[in-house]
Amino acid sequence: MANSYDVIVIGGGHNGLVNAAYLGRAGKKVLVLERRHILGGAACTEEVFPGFKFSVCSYVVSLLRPEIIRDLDLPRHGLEILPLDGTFTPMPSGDYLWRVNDHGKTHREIARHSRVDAEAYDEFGKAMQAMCRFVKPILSMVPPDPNTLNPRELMKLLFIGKRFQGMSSYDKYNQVQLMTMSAVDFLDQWFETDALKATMSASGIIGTFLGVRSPGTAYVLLHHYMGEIDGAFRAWGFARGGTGAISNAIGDAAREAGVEIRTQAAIAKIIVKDGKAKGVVLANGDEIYADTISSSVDPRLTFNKFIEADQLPADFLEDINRFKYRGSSGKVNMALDGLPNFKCMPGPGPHLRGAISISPSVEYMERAYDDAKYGNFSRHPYIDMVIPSLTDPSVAPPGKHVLSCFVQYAPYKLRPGLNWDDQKEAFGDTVVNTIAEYAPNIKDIILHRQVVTPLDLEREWGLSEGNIFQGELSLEQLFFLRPAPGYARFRTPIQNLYLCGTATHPGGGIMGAPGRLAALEILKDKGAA
Amino acid sequence: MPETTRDIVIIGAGHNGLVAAFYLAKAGFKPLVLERRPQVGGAAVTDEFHPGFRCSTLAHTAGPIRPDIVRDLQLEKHGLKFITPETCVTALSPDGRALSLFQDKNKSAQAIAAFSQKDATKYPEFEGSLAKISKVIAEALATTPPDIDHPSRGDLWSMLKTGHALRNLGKRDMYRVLRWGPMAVADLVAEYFETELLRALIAARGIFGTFLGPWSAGSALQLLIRAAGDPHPAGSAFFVAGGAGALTQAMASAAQAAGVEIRTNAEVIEIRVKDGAATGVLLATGEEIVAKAVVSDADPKRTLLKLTDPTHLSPNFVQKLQHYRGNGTVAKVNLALSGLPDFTALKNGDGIALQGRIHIGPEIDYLERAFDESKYGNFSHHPYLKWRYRRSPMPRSRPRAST
Repeated sequence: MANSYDVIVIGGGHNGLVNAAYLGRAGKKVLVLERRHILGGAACTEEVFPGFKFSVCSYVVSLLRPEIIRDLDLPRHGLEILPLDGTFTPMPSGDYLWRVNDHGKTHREIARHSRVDAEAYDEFGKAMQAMCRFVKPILSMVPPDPNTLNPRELMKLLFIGKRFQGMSSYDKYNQVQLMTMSAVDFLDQWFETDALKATMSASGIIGTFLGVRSPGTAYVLLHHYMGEIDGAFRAWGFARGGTGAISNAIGDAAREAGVEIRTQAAIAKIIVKDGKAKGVVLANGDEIYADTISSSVDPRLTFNKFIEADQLPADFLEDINRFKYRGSSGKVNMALDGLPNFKCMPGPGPHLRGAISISPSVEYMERAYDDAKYGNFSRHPYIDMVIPSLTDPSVAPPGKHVLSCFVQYAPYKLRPGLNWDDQKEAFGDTVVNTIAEYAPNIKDIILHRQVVTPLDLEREWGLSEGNIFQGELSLEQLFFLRPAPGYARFRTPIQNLYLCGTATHPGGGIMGAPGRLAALEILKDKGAA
Repeated sequence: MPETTRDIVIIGAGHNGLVAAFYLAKAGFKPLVLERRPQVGGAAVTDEFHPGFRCSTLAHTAGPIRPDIVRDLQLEKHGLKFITPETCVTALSPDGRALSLFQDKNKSAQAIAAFSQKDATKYPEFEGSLAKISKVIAEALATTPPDIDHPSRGDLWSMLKTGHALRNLGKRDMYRVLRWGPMAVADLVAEYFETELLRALIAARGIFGTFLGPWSAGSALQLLIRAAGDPHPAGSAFFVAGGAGALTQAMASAAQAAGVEIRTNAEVIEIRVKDGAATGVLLATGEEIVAKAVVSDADPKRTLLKLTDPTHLSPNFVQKLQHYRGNGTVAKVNLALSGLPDFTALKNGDGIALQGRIHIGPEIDYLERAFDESKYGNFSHHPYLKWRYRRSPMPRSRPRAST
C-alpha cells in the first residue's frame, strides 16, 4: 500500500532527518514531510540574492554529535566542517581582544590586558573540560523519570550521582556553582578583563530570555562550551556550502537508508483515534497513514495546532501551554562588496576569519537585556558575526563576501503598539549602525541585506515565538522537564506519537542528539524491522 | 593581660548566636556570648530612634522563626508576645485601589475577587501547593547541609529522607518543586494569576533581600525558601510586641536562664588559631579568652578573613570565601510621624489595612526596574517598599511609623 508507512517524520530539519535516517537504517519504511521547499529547517542554506548563499538562520556548528557523524557516515555524504579560528572582540577604546585556537598566542594576547587573566584562562579551560566530561554522557542519555521505581531508571540516577562523586572536590563545587550561577558571577571568579568576561558570558545567553547576570546562564555557557569537532572540545566551525550542507548530507544518508522525503508537504492534522496516532492529513487534504508518527516540530505546533485539545489529558495540555518559548534573537545577513575595516585593526587579516563579537563590556550586555525585558529590541545589541566567504569562497561571487550576524536581543513580544513587521528594517539599521561604530566602512559595502526577525522565524521556519531552540534552554525546561514533566522520554500521552525535535532533551544547537535518541526509543518500543 | 578560660565562646549576640548558646547550655556547656554592641540582638533590635519614638531599627517582622525554637526556648515565658493581625499585607496601587491579603485564605480570595474572579479561584490552590511543597523544603532547611564532597552516613540518610519526602508529594507536586526552583518568580506568579498587583505582591517575596529582580531565574526558589518558614503566599504578618528587640531580649533571657553568660560591649578582634585549631579569642580591650571551641555568629567573610589570620587557611579556601557574595541591596528608613498617613487607596477608612504590612511595588516591571538601577550602582528611583506602621501601645507617646 503506497499510502502507508511504518513511520512518518514531521519536519525535515536536522533532527527530523537524523531521526528518519536511524529509523531507515533499522529497516523501517519512513516518510519525511517538510513544509518548505528545501530541507534543513533552521539549518539551511539559501541563495537569497543571486550568487550569495546565506546560512539564513543557524550559521556555525560545533555541537553535532560525533556518533551521528560516524553512524551516518556524513563525510561520505558531503559533510565537511571548516574550522572557525578564534573570536575577535573590538573595544570602544580602540583596542581589541583577540583569542585564537593557538594557545601561546591567546595567552600573550590576554596577558596584554591582564597577566592574572592569562594565567586563569588555562585553568578555566581545564575546569570547563572536566565539567564537560561530566555533562556529556548526560547529553546522550534518555532522561530518567525521577518519579518511577523502575530499577533501570533508578540506576541512571545513580549513574549520574556516581559520576558526580567521581569528580575532584574542586570540580564538584564548580559543577554545583555552574548549575545555579549567572555567567558573569561565575566568570568573575576567574577573570578581571571586562571585554573578556563580556564575550565569554555571551555564550550563556544565546537563545535564552536571560541576561548575562541572570542565574542559570552559567549552565548555558557550558552547553555551548561543549562544542566538539573531530573530538576536540570547544571548536566551532562552518559547513562547506553553508549550514544547509549539513542537513543535505543527513538527508542523503537518510535516502540511502531507504527513507522517502517530500518537501512542500505541509501537515494540517495528526489523525488520532482512541488515543492512538494513526497518520496525518496534509494541507492539500491527502491522508497518509503510519504506525508511528515522530514529530520534530515544537510542542506548540504538535499539540496545539495538529491535535485537538480534547485528545490530550488536561494536565499535560496545561504543561505544554506553559512551556516557554520567548524568542530573543534575530539574524541579519548581508551581501558585501568588500570586507569590513575595523578601526582597531584596519585592513583584511586573519581576525576576520573567526567570530567577531560585539560585546565590549558586561554592562553593555546587561543593558542590551534590559531593553528586551520591556519589549524593545536592544538599542545596542550583542552581535556575533562571521564572514564564511573568507573560509569557504563557494558562498559568494569572487571578491564579494557574506556577513552573517546573530543578534540578541530581539524579543518576540514587542511592547504594546509595536510590531515586528514595522520594526524589521529599524532593527536591521540598528545592527548596521552598531557595527559601523567599530567598522565605519560597513555602510558603503552593503549590497543586500536580509533581516530575519523572531516573527519571521515563527512564520517561515515554524519556530514558535521565534525561539531558536524550540523552547527556552532554562533550567526548569531541561533534562527530565523538557518539554513537559513526565514526558521527557520522547513519548507523548498519545500512543504511537513521539517527539524528536530540539524541544526534547538535550535541546539546542545543531546537535542531532534528540533525533537520534528518539529514534532509539521508537525502536525500543516498536522493535527493528 | 587577664586571661580567662571557657569551654565555648560565641561571637555575636544576634538571634542565631543566642539560639546556639541556648542549645549548647542545654547540652551542658557553659557558653560565653560576646557582643560588640551595647545591646544584644544584632539586626533584631528595638531602639528609641527619636525621643519618645521606639521602633524595630532593622528587622521589623519575626517572619519565619521556627516554632520548635519558640517552644524549646519557652520564649513566651520569657516575655515574648507575638502579634498576628488578621490582615497580613496591603498592596497599594497608583490607580487608588488596594488589595489586602489575610491570614485566612478564603478571606484573601474574597478580596482578590474584586480584581479578578479567576485569580480568586486560583489563590487557595496556589497557597495549598506552596504549603505542601514548602514543607519538604522546610525539612531540608532544618538539617545541616550535606557535605557534597564526602557525604557522611548521616548526610546520606537526611538526603534520602528529603528524597522520600519529595516522592511523597505525589507526581504533580514533585515536578513542581523541580520546575519551580530554578524559575523566575515573575513567571511562576504569571502561571497562576492575571492581576498585576497580586503578581507583584507575591513576587516581591522572591526578591526580598536579594540581588535579584522578579525576572531573575532562581527568584522562585527564594519564594519557596521563605514559604518554608511561612507558607502564606505573601508572608503572614508576624510581629513581636515591643518590636524585634523584644524577641532577642526573650532569647537572651532564655539563654541566661539556661546558664549562658552574655557580655555586651565586648568586641572580638581576633580569633586565635594554633596548629589549625581555634584556641580562643582576643578582645579589643586586650583581654584574651581561651576556649575549647569558638562559634561565630558573624558572617563568614568577617569571621574567616578579618577575625582570623588568613595564613591559617588554605589559599583555595580563602579564594572561595572571597567569592562568597554578599551584595547588600536593602536599606531601612524609620520615620517619626505626627499623624496617620493619608493613603489615597485607603480613603474608605480601611483601618484594618494598617495592621499588617504595606506593600509598595504595584507591578512586576516596577520591581524589575527598581532592580535594574541597582545593577549599575544606583539606588532605585522608585524602590520597592515594605513598611509597617506601628502605634505605641503606651498612651504617653505619639504614634510611630517605620518604613
